[in-house]
Amino acid sequence: MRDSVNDDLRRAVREVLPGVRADLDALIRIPSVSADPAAAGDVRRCAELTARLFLAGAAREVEILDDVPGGRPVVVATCPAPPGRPTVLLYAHYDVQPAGDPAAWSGGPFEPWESGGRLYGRGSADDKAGIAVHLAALRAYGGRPPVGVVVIVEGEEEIGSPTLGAFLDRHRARLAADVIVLADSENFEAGVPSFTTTLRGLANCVVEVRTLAENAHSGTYGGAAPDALTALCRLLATLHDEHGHVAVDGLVTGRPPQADYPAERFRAEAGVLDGVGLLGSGGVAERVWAGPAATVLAIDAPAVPEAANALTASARAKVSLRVAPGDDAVRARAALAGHLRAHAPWGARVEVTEAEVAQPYAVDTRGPAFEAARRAYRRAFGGDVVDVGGGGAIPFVAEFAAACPDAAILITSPGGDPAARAHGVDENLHLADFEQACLAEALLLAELANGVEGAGGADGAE
Amino acid sequence: MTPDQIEGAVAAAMPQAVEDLRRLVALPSVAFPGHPSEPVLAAAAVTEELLRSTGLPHVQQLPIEGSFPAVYAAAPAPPGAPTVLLYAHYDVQPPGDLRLWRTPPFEPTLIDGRLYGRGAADDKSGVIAHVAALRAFQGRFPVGIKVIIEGQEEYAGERLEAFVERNPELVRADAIVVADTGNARLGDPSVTTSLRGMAAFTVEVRTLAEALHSGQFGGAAPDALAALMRMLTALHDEHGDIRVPGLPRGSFLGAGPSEEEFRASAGVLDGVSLVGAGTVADRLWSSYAITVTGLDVPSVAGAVNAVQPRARARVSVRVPPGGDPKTTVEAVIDFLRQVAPWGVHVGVEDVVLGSGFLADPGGTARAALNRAMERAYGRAPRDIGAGGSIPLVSTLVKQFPAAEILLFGAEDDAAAIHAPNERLDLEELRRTITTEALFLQELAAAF
Repeated sequence: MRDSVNDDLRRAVREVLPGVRADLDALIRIPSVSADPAAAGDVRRCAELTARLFLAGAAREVEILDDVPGGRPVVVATCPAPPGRPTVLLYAHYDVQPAGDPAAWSGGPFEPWESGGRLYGRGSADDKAGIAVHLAALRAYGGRPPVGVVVIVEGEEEIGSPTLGAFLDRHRARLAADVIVLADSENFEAGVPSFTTTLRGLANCVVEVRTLAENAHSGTYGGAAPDALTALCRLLATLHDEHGHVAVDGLVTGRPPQADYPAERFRAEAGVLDGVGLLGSGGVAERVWAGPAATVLAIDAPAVPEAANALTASARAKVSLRVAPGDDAVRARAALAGHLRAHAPWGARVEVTEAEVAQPYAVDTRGPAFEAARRAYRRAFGGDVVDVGGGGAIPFVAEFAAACPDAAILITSPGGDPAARAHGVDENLHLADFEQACLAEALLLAELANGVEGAGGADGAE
Repeated sequence: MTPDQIEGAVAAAMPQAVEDLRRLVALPSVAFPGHPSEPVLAAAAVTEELLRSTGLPHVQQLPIEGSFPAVYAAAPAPPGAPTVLLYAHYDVQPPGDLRLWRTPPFEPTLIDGRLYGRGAADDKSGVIAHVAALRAFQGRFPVGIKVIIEGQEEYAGERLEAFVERNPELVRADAIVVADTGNARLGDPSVTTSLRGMAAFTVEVRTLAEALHSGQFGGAAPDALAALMRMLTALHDEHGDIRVPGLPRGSFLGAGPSEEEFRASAGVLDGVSLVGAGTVADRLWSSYAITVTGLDVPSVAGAVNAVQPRARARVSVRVPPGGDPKTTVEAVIDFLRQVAPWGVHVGVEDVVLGSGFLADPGGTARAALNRAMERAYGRAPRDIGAGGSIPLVSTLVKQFPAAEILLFGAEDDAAAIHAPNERLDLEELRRTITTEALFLQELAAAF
């Protein structure tokens, strides 16, 4: 990229930023809580504001599409591709998490305020900043970017994007893109641009153990009659070895992204009590991004206050497996089910029901789109991009991967950092990183204008 | 009265005894928190009325602080005759899952000679055994009589125990009949000579400040529930034998059920093995048993993808008669702390203790009981143990070391006490009443 283009863009972004910042405040003022049925009016108002903001110098054509039953309005803004140029899809969401107890906040959750270089308010980072970054990048080009652009801003991300797949399917033709930018993650550290390149999948099972025809008096029968709850505890204890490694055979461990995740930082973020060790071994990144994890989510048993002196005839648990990138979640679920069937003690009868499953995701980060993106973000931030993992599945990523199997998918941060408290009290946006993110995305569009045919794609996703 | 006259009087009064039992069983006298107290008080009133009908001169309800009233009755001893204390309880276990009952639990129903209903055996049969045995004497009792019918035996509270410790004279006796057990098999006369004690406690494991998203943190975040599972699992080996040091397996000096009999009575599913080693009687009556009876964790229906920051379990420990519940529970808790993995924080609370019971070798009263049972059943009784606890028994042992304590009753092994479809064999009830009446007569003659 010529330095003059670089300088022109920097200037252009600087000029549009004050307006974009005011637009972001206006977006935060609308409590567009998708989980709250009573907020349906605010959700729609937020979609309408988003549409108006893109019409204001960011895109040529803007539509609010509300044509999937049960879905919330989706804002679609488009800038047609100049001849021979690729098309880039920019994603964000305008809905937010509930604010929780407003009294716990330092200010009104829907009355944005600035303090110490951060903008506070629900949605400031997750993900109204994503909308603002897209606005800034497009306005910097006066609404005529050097590539084709399709912006999708959905309104149901915080409730799991239940109808996004149907929406993408319905509008497949007009949403075709070579590169997809999902601006809804966080930077690994303030000032460090980060791409999320792996996500773990999910494989859940419900297991029921039965030993007796009915509950029996623990005094009369205890010591010889097998108790189902004790048997279930024994079975669940086989999921880990003594170091806390997952002990289910046949699971894959992937390769973690390069970012170093210091154990001390993890302990602080997880709130691990003093003196308590971490599970597993190796680097934290390997354990929470690249390795499988088994968690007992729930057990159906008498609660402690209601515990009668009785042997339990049957007991049930729900077990969740996080599936490493590179593994197959359906196969992993079968491995978990097989383990549960094979390890019950005392011949106890075991019934396993396979439950939720979500595939892990790993991006092939070698294509020209990634190279272009790394250059753009390095230039904006003055430092290299780090690749990070995500521990959990993100529904919209899987939907885009399924809808556009040949596109390169970039999961970026609109400026949130580890202190952003997305979903928490006093959610905030690191404003310097936000401004760098705006510039980075504008630079990215220029980089991509040079061509990204065969940009790359997902590896191991389904 | 001659033994023949006693047997005849008992047989003639059986219809009335069954009628009285039905009245009691119809009252849902569940003395647990959260259950209405009116039926419990109504059962106390009916018990009082029934005791009056026996001709005992002194009958009253004793208020027990923090609990339900005990019903007390007494008649002075004839000159030179011993005094016998008769114990039973009028409260019952909650009925549990109503769908598992073939008949409504509080609508006593007679099917094939058995009366179905919650409390029909445990322990309203004991109340009726005392009432009907006393009635046989028509007010001319051969020995001094004291009766105490407890109102909150099934829910541990130890209120009556404290009352008895403060009022020993009310219950002082030469022999004590506890009618709250039963024969090893229907019609197979048995005297319960050992009861296990018990201890229970709540253990809590903490690892994190709060619950965490299992995707974001799972795999490295220390999971309190996983740690608790490991700890509870360490309590037994793969055969179900206890691994806690200092809790050795005992042996029961007497005959117990066969494995087949035990499997049937416990309802063990086909293909599922028993736990532990030794004879069934060793395991049930003379050894420790540890059971996880409760867990505080999310339920399957409300499961979210989260790593738990804390988890709690209620652990129940049965203690053989020779064991000390206090040192036992300390040993179990120490062991749990030792095996706790990953440096997790472990807390213990709500420790409750109850002593076991081991009868002294038989004396005058036991010999009288043997003769009574031999006549009522056609053969001499054998000694059996019981796995459960009767909290008041250990208090009585402590207070009246010279008194002989005799445990028998109509709760045979098929009575399904504490379980759905609890039932009482009415012929077994008649033999129990006959035994008790004959015993009172025999004891007077032997003293």
